[in-house]
Amino acid sequence: MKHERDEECKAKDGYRNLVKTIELSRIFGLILARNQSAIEASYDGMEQSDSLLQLPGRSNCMNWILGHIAVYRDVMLLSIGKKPYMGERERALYGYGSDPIYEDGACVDIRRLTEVLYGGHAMLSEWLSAGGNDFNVETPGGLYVRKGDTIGEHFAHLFAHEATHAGELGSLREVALVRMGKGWK
Amino acid sequence: MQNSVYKMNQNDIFITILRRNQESLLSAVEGLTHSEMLLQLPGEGNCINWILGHIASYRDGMLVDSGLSQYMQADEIEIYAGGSEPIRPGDTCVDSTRLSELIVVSFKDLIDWMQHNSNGLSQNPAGNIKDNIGYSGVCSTLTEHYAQNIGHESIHVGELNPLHELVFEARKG
Repeated sequence: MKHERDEECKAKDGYRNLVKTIELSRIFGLILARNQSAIEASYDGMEQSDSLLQLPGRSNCMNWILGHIAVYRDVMLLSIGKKPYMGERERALYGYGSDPIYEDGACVDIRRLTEVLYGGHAMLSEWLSAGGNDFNVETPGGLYVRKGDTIGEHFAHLFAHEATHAGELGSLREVALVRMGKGWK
Repeated sequence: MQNSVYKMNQNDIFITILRRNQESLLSAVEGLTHSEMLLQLPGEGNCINWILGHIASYRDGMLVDSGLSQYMQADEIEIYAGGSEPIRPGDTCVDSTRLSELIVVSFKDLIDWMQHNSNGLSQNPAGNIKDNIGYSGVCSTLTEHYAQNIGHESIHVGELNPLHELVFEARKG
């Protein structure tokens, strides 16, 4: 009888863990989709010169923010054993603490950045929807940034970081639209 | 990857993100006056006051979902609801000090609730989720509603950064 009870408990634990895994994947999937939607809405119709427009103060331009999000998406890809998109030179331009990008400075073309973001989003979405992901495994060492001991915690920080930078893009799009003489969207 | 080290659940994710949001929110509004929170960037973006009220109203949505009491009055929520008009100097709005206080108390309530109800997010939402603030049309469970609202909040938190910079530029004259 004890053996049967143990087996029953194991089955129940397994089911609970499966439900939790699906729920965590769903949470991250919803946040990623929301972020990507905000990012795509911001750069829709923008050209390279638009992406270099500046706001008052020490804010960053759209080009820097897109590149910065791309670098951190690469960290998420590396965390789950996938290949990154950005090279070392690109990472240096857009990594944490890198210099602001101005019109005459070195930078990556916005078309490449949007392709990288699109590709990274597709790979992460696919991984999150595949199911069976364990968010309690230890975050690998040697990453460019490591925001938590488990993949779940690491991803929570990285998705929130991405969302706040995605939020910064809205006012930069507005500046570009004003320069173009266009209204909102 | 190595073996499991800690069993994370949905509460942990939401607490982590909400804490990050709160830290950025408080840092963005610290020391600003009400009139500074009405400054506008070029275009059709929103001011800090609107963003604070908008976030506070969506937090109320999560509180109600969880069976707790909301803080904002119906006429206040109307000013800051999704799709509401931008607030400009002279327009009707809630004082920024009250909004900052709402951000503090709603954060405390949500964190307390998640910390003391480990399975709370697995329950059904209180009331009809479609009537609650922040319903996005694509969620039916409490967990999904929290994911939508907290993800939405993080993006609005990011909008505060350029507005904060604008205030400091304005102070330079």
